[in-house]
Amino acid sequence: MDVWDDYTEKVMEHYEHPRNVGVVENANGTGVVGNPACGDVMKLTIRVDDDIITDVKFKTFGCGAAIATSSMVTEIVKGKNIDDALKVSNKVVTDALGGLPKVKLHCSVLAEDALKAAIDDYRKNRDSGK
Amino acid sequence: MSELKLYMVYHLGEHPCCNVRVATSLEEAMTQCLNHSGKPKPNDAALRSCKVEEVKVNGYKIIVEKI
Repeated sequence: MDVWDDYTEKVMEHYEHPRNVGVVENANGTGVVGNPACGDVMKLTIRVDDDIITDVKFKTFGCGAAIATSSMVTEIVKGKNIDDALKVSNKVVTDALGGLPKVKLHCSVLAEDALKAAIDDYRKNRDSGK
Repeated sequence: MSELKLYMVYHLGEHPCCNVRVATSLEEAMTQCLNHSGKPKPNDAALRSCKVEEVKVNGYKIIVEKI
């Protein structure tokens, strides 16, 4: 059995060709989260205009599943209203990837938490007039 | 030289774990915290993330200097 058999084609595709990698230059929301068990660190930057996420990018120091989930979450939320984006759970991300091995499900939690952290940061910046 | 800042890293699960870190970036603060030893991992470590935020206090500028 090949180690790659545990991963769907979609996961492999996003791992090998991740979308929206980098940092949004004029970001007004940043979320950085990490997993205390595996040490993966994910940074998500967003540009929000009129409460719509107009740009989103990620940088992830982690495994293939972490990279694939980061990539997928950016694709899902781009163009979404922030209230709708907050409804994007780790299950939504995992389902969009066609599933993840059970031992890698925490990577999808990291993606959800990074998104929530970035939106939370955006709201704080907005409310403080930045 | 990058500016040192104060960061708070905390666990998003039930475990009331939080750490103040001095670093030059959010990522550095997070990595410092995840790497430091002697801290028991939360039971739900694999399922819950840690979050890092720069410490800010309205009306004040926090200056961090190495001594």
